Amino acid sequence: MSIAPVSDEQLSAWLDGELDGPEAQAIERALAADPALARRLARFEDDMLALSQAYTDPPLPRTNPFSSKQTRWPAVAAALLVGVLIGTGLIRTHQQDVSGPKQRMLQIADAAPVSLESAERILLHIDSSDGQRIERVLNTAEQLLQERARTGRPLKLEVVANARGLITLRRESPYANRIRDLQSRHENVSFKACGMAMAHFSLVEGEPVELLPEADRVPAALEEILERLKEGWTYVHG
Amino acid sequence: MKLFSTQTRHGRQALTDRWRRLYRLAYAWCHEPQTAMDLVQDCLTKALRAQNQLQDEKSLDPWLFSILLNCWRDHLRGRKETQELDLDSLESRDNPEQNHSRQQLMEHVRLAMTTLNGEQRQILTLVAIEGLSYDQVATIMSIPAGTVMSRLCRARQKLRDALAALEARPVDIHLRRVK
Repeated sequence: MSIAPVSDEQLSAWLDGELDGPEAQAIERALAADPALARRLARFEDDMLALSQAYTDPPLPRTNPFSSKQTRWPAVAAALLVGVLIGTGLIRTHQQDVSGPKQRMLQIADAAPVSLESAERILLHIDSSDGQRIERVLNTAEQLLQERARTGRPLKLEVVANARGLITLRRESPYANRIRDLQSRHENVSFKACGMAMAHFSLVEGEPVELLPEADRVPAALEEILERLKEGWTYVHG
Repeated sequence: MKLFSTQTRHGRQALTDRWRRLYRLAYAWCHEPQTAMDLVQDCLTKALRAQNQLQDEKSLDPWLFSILLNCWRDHLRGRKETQELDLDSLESRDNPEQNHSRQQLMEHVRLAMTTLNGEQRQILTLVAIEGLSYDQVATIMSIPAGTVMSRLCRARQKLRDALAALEARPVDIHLRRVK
């Protein structure tokens, strides 16, 4: 008896119980006769089980991101996180004229111990591929670095890129020259790329994501930002 | 019909269960706990307002899922960038109570899900997590059942490809404390 080839679409529908009668029976016969097909089915079944397990117990938003007692990671988008922090009164906001009045400047007030280091520490966060926003972040970085160098006030600056903003620090970045120039002129600036975003894009594109030589990979941008906030850094969302 | 009764213990339990299912689905779509929470609140508020439209209790779940989907679509439209997924929001902290390989598999699945487009994720979760039929998914998403079948298959293949790539070259997405 000849067995008609089974498409993935039929296999998928059979797995979901969407086929009946002769069509289902044909697939059952094919599965019995063809170990490779049975393996393909088993793969799909395993994936579906893993899928439902992966979302059985999703993390809930955390109201206090500084509590380390919870084992569940807050998983709050960084911008949102800032709102939560303000809401819980753990940080205060104030405006400073860095590159424009619209830049939000946020600083830990009570949550972090007072740092003994005298250098001002600022983290600039870029999570968008929008050219204007990236330019604004780089302009802010440049102005800060130049102004502090001129006046002799110590500064530590970190530029963190994640999500679609990762393009800023990729090898093919249109801002490569500018970033190289910034780092060659200033020792006190560093560039950090989000490892999660790198993993995502390498998976989507099918090849590893390469960074500019000036950029370092951190496991996750959000973790980096939280740590810096806890240490008393000033956060600016680009 | 009255959507939820909070007068009885049973009614309150039913509401909690429903809330959990909606949250799980919303989280699988957006991977952002706060957004998922907002979507579920929004969905339940709309459902309570429109509860008189619901005639048959059996269609309650698909009806709620379609409201949730509309809330998610509205949310995406409201965003400046149509970025559906925030990668940093993926759960990725080691949980010592959980077996490492199981934890890694869960992380791989969530990461692999980010390679699917929004519609593929929605169809896949409605069928594989909620166990809905193709007809029910077709109604919720306003597309023909045949289209559900083909897109679902494509979503499964894409998930499989991504998981195979991750199995071949595991990505260390476990967070470490930044010193």
